[in-house]
Amino acid sequence: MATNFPASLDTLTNPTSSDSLSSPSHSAQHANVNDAVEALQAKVGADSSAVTSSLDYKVAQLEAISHGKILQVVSTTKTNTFTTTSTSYVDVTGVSQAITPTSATSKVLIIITGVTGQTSNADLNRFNIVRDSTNIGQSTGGATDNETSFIYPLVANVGVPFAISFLDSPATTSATTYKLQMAVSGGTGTIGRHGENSNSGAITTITVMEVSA
Amino acid sequence: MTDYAAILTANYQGSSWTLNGDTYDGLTWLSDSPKPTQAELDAAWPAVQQAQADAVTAKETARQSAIDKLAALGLTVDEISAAFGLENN
Repeated sequence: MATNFPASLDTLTNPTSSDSLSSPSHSAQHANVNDAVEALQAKVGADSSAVTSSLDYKVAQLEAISHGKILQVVSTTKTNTFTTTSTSYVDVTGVSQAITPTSATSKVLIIITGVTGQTSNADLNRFNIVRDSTNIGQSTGGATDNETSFIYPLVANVGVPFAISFLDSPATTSATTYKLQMAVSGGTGTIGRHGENSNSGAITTITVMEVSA
Repeated sequence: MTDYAAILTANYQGSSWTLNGDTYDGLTWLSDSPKPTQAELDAAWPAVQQAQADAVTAKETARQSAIDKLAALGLTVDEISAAFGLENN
């Protein structure tokens, strides 16, 4: 019986203690097992195998992929509210996260999600992602203002979900802190509540991931 | 619970501040004007609450008045709802 492996699994016959050497054939038993072992070795592959169908070759190819792997994930969730009337950027208390990249070539993906509101239907809330003290992810298309993102609810005292993300290249292995800053064009801007109404609350989360380059 | 954000928004327009959370301890005053004390804000809360309630009442009164005026023009309840989204109470 020639082996069917790896197309399918073999069914090998086990001889009993009362069987003669000729039935089942002793030599045929050895031949079948030898064939099966050889098929297994071919499937696994020798060290540094160049046979593309071997598992050794395929594992080596996967291990060679170094870019795009998530190396670490850290996150902070703010459970209370933040409110401001400042037209200059201020830190949103509690929405910051430190990370120490393991490599200077790593990318850092920042994701911030939450709910924001405005007491004025004619004003907007502006947001910046800041790395330590440097604004990152800045737009260039605004005639008067450029920032990472803004929300213009158009209706006062409604909760508007927001999600801001940016892939940064900090080029450092030192501890680095990412944080959210906020300013308003007027009115009162809120995080975690919908403007004037405080009946409903929402969380704000900052998640920072180190991604291999 | 005293809503300090609502009080500050209503009574201190033009001032710049941040409030982390819902308590007075979270208030950071950014304007040059004096930071209001917790006692001052607490004292203002009933009036702000009343103003909020009055605003809700005024809005509902205006909405019902609009419905009544449209009905007086001959529009049915279904027509008012379809055209303006106003549901009669």
